[in-house]
Amino acid sequence: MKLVFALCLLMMPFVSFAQHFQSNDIPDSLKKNAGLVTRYEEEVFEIKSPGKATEHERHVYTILNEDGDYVSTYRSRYDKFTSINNITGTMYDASGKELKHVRKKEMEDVSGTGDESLITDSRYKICSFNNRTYPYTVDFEEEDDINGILDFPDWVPQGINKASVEDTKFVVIAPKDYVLRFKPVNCSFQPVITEDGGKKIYTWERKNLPARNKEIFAPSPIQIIPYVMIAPSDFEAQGYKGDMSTWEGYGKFYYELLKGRDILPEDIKRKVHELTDNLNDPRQKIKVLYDYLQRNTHYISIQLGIGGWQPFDAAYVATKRYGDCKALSNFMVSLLKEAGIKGNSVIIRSGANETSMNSDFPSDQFDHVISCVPFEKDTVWLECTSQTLPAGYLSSFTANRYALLVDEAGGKLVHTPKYGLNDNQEIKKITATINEEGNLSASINTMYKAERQDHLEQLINYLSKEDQLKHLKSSIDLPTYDIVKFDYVQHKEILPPSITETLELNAPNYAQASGKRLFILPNVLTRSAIKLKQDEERKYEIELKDEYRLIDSVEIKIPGGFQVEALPRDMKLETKFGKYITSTRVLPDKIIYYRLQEQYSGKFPPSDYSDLTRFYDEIFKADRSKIVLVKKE
Amino acid sequence: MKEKRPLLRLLAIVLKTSQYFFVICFCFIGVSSFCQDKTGVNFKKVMVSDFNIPFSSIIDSNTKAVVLANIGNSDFEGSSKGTFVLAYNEFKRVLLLKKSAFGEATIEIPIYTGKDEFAEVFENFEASTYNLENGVVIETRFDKNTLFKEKYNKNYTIIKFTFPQIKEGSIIEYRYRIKSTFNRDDIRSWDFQGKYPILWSEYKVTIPPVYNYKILKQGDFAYNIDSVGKMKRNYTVLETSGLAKDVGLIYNITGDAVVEKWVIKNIPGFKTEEYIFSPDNYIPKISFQLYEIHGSKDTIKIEKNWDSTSAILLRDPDFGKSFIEEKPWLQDDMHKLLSDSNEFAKAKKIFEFIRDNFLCTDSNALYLSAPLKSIYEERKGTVADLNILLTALLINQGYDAHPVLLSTREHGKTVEGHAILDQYNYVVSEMNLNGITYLLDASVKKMGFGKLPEKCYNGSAWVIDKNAKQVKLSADSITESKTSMITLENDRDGEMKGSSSADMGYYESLSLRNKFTKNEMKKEIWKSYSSDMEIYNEAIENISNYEEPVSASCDLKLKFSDAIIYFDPLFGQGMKRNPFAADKRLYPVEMPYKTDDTYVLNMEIPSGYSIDEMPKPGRIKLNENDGLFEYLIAVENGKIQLRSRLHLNKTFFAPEEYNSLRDFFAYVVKKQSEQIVFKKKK
Repeated sequence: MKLVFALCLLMMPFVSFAQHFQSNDIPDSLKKNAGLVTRYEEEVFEIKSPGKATEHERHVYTILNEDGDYVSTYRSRYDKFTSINNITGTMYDASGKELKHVRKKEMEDVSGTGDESLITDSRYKICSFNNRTYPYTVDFEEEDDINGILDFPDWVPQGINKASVEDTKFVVIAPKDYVLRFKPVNCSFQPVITEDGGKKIYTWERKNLPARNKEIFAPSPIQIIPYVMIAPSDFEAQGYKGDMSTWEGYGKFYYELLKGRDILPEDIKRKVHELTDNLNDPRQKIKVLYDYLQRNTHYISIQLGIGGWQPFDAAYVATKRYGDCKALSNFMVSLLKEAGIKGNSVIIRSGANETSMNSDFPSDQFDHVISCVPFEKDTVWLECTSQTLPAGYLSSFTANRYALLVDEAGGKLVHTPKYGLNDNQEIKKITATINEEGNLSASINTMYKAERQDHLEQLINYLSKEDQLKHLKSSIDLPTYDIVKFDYVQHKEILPPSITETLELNAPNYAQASGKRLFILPNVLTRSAIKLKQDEERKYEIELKDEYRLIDSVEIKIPGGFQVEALPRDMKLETKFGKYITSTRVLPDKIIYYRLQEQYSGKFPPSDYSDLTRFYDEIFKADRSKIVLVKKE
Repeated sequence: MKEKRPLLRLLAIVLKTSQYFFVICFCFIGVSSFCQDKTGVNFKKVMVSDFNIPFSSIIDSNTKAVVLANIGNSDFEGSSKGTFVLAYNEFKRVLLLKKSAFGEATIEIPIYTGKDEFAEVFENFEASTYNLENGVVIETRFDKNTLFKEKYNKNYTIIKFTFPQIKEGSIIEYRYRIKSTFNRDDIRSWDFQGKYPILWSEYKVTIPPVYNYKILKQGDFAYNIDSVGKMKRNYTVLETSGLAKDVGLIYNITGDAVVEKWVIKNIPGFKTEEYIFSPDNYIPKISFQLYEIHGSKDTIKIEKNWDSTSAILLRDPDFGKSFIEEKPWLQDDMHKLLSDSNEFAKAKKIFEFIRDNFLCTDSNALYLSAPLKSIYEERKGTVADLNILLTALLINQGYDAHPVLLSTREHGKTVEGHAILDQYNYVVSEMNLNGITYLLDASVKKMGFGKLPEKCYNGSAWVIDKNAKQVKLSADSITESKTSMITLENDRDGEMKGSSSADMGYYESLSLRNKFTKNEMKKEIWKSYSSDMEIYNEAIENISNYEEPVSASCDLKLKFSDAIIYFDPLFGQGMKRNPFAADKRLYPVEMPYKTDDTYVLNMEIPSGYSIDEMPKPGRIKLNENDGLFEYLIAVENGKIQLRSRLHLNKTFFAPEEYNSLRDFFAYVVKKQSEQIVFKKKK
């Protein structure tokens, strides 16, 4: 009897398993819009002590079509802090029959250093299956040891588009007295909490989530996708202890990492005094030292061990003349200190689209470090990895978001400046002539300011003249043309900075000359390319992130003897999304065209989507309306 | 990174020596004429003048960096591995003028570190940064603690380092040596041109008396030095494996080694242009091909013709041997797939089975990366894996099939008449059935049976068979033809009704199939049509008939009410931008294929309107026969007939032909933007 019972126990999971992941079990509601279905997902994170944890993960996906194929490759990262104990991958066909099983030692092992770093110690184990017979199922299981905790994984039940979820589970096991911090975001998922001896077990679970579609102008994922943030309170890595439950505590931890790393070699100290002692204005001193930093150092990223968190010290940067963002920021703060100015490192999330964060939940939401000098009324911000930005200007890479300022008292959240409608401008003046054949010759002067100059700023500082020309040519939408001359001047003295572009070009056949008519597009260069799909079903809010103003004034001399046959209608659209005004006048010898476009930032309800589509459509069309001139008889 | 090939123990093969001989001596007697080394630049001797490079035809105020010297040296050494060791030395000195060239100060050198006899050794590394301070050259030595060796994967390690103390105006200098077990195709080639101007580019090769190499030169630059000399050398090679496993053999080779040296001075930075298949084709370069081995008694010709190369490949376990040998498992697995009796249908099924079920992991490969059976089971592999497997399956089923080697466009042109495998990077399959030859590529998704991707049309391909056969695959041999047609007639109340149909080009179809689903394709195809008309009844044919191009059709409705109508007879389908934006051209233009694009419009004059103005017919030729653009338009019986045809009959245009090519397209763009003006009758 005993034997039979044991056999049953052994058999049971096997049987249920095989049935469980048959592809025909999937309800149609989960197949809709989906490239894959997460059949079962489980992540068990067990905190053993403030510095030690284990993680057990299992991911079972059924791939329905090509859109889901990418999950058939599983990548697992490991480094000095995380080691992989075991990892397996198994592939099943639609009926649940095993096709292939891969063990850890058979997996590919590759470096995790990407293009942005010179070297890191992160590596990947990669298990990649290939099957073109859909549907099929892959099952990955992994066990890690974590030695040195700086952050916990967040739980995102459904992180990707075009993927539905059948069952997903997240479990955190912690010592009973451990303060686990968590916060549901965009949802109210609460864990089931149980106790087992000295342990407390938190379990979150979600079932049957249909696939989501991607929507244009939707808020960033962290604003709309339901997830649970989880963070340590007490943590420890390589001898450094911290408490993350407040921003202050988090800042204190980082300050500890910085402590004593600001000592400059004597020659650099002398240099600092040489540069700043005769200046009175602290802002002037900052400018001079930032300029010194930009001239003498450049960005190289080396991320090894705790080095991923702790910057190389100031002396290292002084002798090598390179460092990553945190090392360069620390070096800058050290230079400032020597000049008697108190600066700070500021931990931040970088990227033009990464402006939102959960400011009420202290946790590691950052990936970059800058520095700053706070004054009574304002703050001078310094991006230390750039060799070309002016002191005090951040660019869209780090502007308009929360960041953590680090000082001896701990950390505090600060907000970086926002560049708005009056900053982000592009003002273009075109003076041109069109002859009877329709050939256009034009001189164009454009002023790009603040975030509108960010991209250009990179191009003119980092590309050769030939490549600048190539880029310029790719951005100009004219049928056939030659650029006669082009030039850029960067203005850094007044903030936000601007760039002036002067351009001379010839465009043969710009206007279509038929027997007696001349078709002229008065809007020579600024034509909106945005065309939204009308028939979209809108679920999420609309978020317009950019704010800018574009002004074009165009004056085109025209040959005599023509009269107007058709003229684009003057436009005046004033909406909550923005403003669009054009006017076209034809005088006997010239055309005068004016265009103003303002884009506002903001959030709008999904029901506004058709208005937004119409707004852009009208601009699209008006930007392409032609003047028709006909020869006087 | 390059595939590593099994070692050919050439010396051992040549000598066929008996195991009782311990020492074999070769003496190559000749007159030694040692050639003097007169390099313009010496390592570590950085002068003040190196910091002040005057402007010249190749350097101006926009130059970001100047390579003051780049010097390479390949030399053979004796070894205990039964063959030579090849020592490759490189030394480079660069003046960094602008911040934007600081990327040059981070160096990555991949070395092969696989667990076999080919593992390479990186040594003799030295690097320094030099700065000019108050007229004095200050050297900052590279700190060896910051030399990183990153294990990239199981076969390669990347040596990484970045120079300290760099600023605008710094000079960086480094040298290293890589020692590798000699494999006869492994003398490194040398590129004399790079991204930045180079003042002195030098390569020296010392070849032991046992070998004779053919030297292949590419490019138009004249050599400032091109010298051959001789030098007495002694090499000792110890053999401890194979025949000599028990006793050990020592080869002692003494004689005159051939020393060749090439220098080009003042080479401008390479600037790539659009419509170039591969910049590699235009860079001045030297590469090597072994053609003779001198044994103790006689000379062996390494006939690198395609017949002998084929024979070697057919014996190679990572190539021909895999499909020549009987593979019973193939037979079993294919059985259920191939119930069809029709020979053609069966072959197509085999092809589709691989194309649709296997993933191509690398489209640069000549040899199998794993045994056929494991590729078959893994359902993935390189282009060589998939197409050799395809060949094997076809042979197994009794078809006449062979692998075909070629070099894809981005990989570069091959040198005609030389069977240098390094110049090839791609394998397809040839199958002959009922007198018809099919070229097959199962590595590309949705590729038709008997079709090859554009990138394969890059000159010659070679069928690997007992008698190797050349197949010409030129860009000129493919034509992308497209025909589209719109008809419109008057319906009621100022409305016009009609239809549109288009037969796409084959490669356009392939890209549509791979980018879009059927429904997306419908939106995509009609997206660019002028927005004022209503489009309905969209239909697409041949979406999954991969051998044929996609054809699309729809019905149209148009409304007219304004007093004057400006009407685009191409409905927004005309060419809007000249593909040749640049006004000057340095290199030839290489178009992907010949083009034949015809558009036809048949429409009634909208009722209630008359034609006020109409584009004039036009016709222009490109050179005599290279291209033709026709724009024929006429009105007859109240109907407008328009036919616009762009025919490009050639794919390669010399730089001298650039202006006429650009003008030709300018005319096309102009003509295709012209409008018809209708006026309401009073």
